[in-house]
Amino acid sequence: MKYLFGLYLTFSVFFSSLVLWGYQNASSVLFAASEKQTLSFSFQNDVAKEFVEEKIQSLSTKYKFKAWTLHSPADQYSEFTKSFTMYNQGAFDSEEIIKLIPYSVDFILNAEQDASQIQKNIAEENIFQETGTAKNWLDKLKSISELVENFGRGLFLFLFLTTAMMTVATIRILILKDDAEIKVRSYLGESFNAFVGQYLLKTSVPCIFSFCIGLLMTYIVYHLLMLKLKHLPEFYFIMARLNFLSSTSVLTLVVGFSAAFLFGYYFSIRQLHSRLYDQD
Amino acid sequence: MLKLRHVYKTYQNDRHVLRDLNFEANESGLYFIKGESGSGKTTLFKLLTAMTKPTSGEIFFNSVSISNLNAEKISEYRKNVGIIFQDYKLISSLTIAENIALPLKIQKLSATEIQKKLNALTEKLNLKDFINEYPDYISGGQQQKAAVARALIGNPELIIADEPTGNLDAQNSSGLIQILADYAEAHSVKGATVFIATHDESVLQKNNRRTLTLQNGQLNS
Repeated sequence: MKYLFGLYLTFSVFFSSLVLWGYQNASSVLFAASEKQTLSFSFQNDVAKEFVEEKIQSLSTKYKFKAWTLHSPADQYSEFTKSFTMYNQGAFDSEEIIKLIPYSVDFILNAEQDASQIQKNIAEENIFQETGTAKNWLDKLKSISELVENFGRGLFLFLFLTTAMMTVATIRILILKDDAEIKVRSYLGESFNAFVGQYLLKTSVPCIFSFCIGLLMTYIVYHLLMLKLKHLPEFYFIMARLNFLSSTSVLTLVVGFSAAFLFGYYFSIRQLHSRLYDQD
Repeated sequence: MLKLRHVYKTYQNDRHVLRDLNFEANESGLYFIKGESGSGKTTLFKLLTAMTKPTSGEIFFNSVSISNLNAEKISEYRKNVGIIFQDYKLISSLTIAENIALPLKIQKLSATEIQKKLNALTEKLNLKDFINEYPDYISGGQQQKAAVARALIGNPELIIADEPTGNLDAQNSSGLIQILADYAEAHSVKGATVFIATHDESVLQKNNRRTLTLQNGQLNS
């Protein structure tokens, strides 16, 4: 039972840390808060830089944007070749490609501004060949993120309760196994605190060990994924943003599982107390 | 030293196991408690070892009531009581020496002190030959001797022995009673009291001691 409990706890920590890690990275990769109120526009190919700058300035003054970023064709080409190195093989002349890329601009809106309305108004000016808002797809991703979050919460609750139940079962079995010895020690005057300490030590050491193994397994998964991504340049942007569990996430796991363990331990030890000292 | 005042014990099915027990052991020494199986001897011993509490009445040990103690006080009280069980209750994972020394370890005595007391007692009770054995590998008589040694080693003021001669032959029974009688006498200045429960008439006849009879839940001296 002790080994089964250790195995269970290892996988509980593994799965919950994996979910936490997934959620933590989904947030950092997909949802930079400033991107939520961003409008992106691509100018027509044939417009001059001076016209672009003048137009951006007038739009910025008109709509009082928080900030804006202009992406020149050369910048966009450079960014593209950096991310997708396999396309940077010289099949085309870079100058030719740059000519095909339009200027583009990202306007960062203030929180209270209506992105859809502004997008509609600007699109009517017919100077852009493509308009878009990060908000639409970010909203979709947000719902996925919320799903992951809810699933994570549910999983945590399930693992919390089952860990507490497994702790109760394991300690009860350990106590039942030592029942005769416990009773004899109690008749000889052993204090209840001595039993509390003894079983806390007996069960907490394997728990700490299992917790570390579970966390290590998650780290191995993270490390293997990073190795895999290293060989897939098209996913370079993911690799650049992936991080292992933050100290807050590890602390959440430690606090959650410690609470489950202590909860289970408290109930089992209370039962032992009443068996040994409740004079019926 | 030990006083029972109007002690009743009734179990949930309203069966009166003990009824109005009144007894006072002012003098230290050895007492036999005679009674047939089911007369309430074991319940009385459970009351004296604070394993259970009386339904009504009070039990006093050194003028302190032991009827409603908390866990901490129960542990403190039991350190002053030596219990000898009919089935010995030696811990099978410990050697005989470790079993005997257990009360001293629980009292947190130093290793040197424990060893000193252990040597003296095992010498006196002639246990040297098997102190390094495990309980399952020695005879019933040897186990009983070890159980007696464990009860005596802490130098308790009260010893409670539940049918300690039940599994022994006549010779070993006499030897064991003598050990307990010697202990009670040797500690009489301090005031040690030994209660031995038995239903064996031959043990009572051979040892002319104070005998209390437990019959139908009532105690007659």
